[in-house]
Amino acid sequence: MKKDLRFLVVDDFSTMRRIVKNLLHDLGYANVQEADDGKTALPLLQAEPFDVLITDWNMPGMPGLDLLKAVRSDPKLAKMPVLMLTAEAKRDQIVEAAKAGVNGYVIKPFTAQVLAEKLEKILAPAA
Amino acid sequence: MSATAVTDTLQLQWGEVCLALREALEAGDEQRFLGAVDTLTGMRERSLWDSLRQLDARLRAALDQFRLDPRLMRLAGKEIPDARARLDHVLKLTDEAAHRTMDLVESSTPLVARTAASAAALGAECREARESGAASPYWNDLLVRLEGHCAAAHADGEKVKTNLVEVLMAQSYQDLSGQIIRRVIELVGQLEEELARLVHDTESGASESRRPQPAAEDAIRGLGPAVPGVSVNTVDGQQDVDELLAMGVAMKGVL
Repeated sequence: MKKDLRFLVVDDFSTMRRIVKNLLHDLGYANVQEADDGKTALPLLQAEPFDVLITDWNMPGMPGLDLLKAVRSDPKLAKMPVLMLTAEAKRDQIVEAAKAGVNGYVIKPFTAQVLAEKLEKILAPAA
Repeated sequence: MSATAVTDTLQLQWGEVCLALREALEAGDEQRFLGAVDTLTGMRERSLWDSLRQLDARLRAALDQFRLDPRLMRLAGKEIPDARARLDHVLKLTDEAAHRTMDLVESSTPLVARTAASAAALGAECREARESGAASPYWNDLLVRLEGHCAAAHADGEKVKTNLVEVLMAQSYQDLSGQIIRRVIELVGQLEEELARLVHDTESGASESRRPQPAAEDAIRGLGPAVPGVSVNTVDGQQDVDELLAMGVAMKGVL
């Protein structure tokens, strides 16, 4: 698996961003940037070449589902692997995210192992 | 009230007009009969208006009491804003505590990793020296004990590293509880707004209904973590999520 991949982690809680960043470092991914909602994440994604997007759902400003839809509708970003890392646990929401084109969905609270497994799965084509 | 008492009340209130109606009917006197019907209708309307007047008076008294209730004014003006500030403060405290814990985890992990790695390396050197057979019985015994110590230090260090990852993961409580607290702050804010509006309306005598936020907007924005005993139709663990996700992807393929 390529370890020089660039990650963007989007979550309105800085504690969660820090946890994910640490876990990614443990997995060997050192190139991690952060954004605190979809509104700040989208311009970053459009301006810089990120390889993977990890996003929360429930955020003020632009929620994760809208960010996902914006990514999928942008020809430059449409193919980017997107992992949703969220506490949103309604069955309909997960189906909705799948229909919007999410590649992986990890429910909070999660374990380091689950995050590693899901990342491996969504990154398999890029490896 | 007993049946006899009810009969007496009815007789007192309606008896005379009923008697007039029956007499006019038996006499075939249409004019007198219709006159009695008008009297009856008028009495009934008066009774209805009396009830409405009483209801209106009671409502006004209740609104006056509501407006003047100091407890309510205190709630709307001070206690609810205070409650929001307190919850905000809880969020700030948990955020600081979680970051402080992660500071310590991040500074401890490399230390224990270094100790574990050097213990493993030193243990290997001890083993090589012991296996070379060059050491005297005294040094050989010391190497055996050192090797054992290094193996234990390495295993303990690895265990501490794993535990530190768990400590890090446990800080996700701040995000999960924080999302729930933010939702409560929002609800308290709405309550404060509605209460202020109600107090204002009762003072001005006006009343205005407010459009509730559609549930669909909430679903897009996100509903926050599932709360036991409150949330319905939620998933039961990551495996459930994986199955639903696969189902959603399959549905997308069909569309």
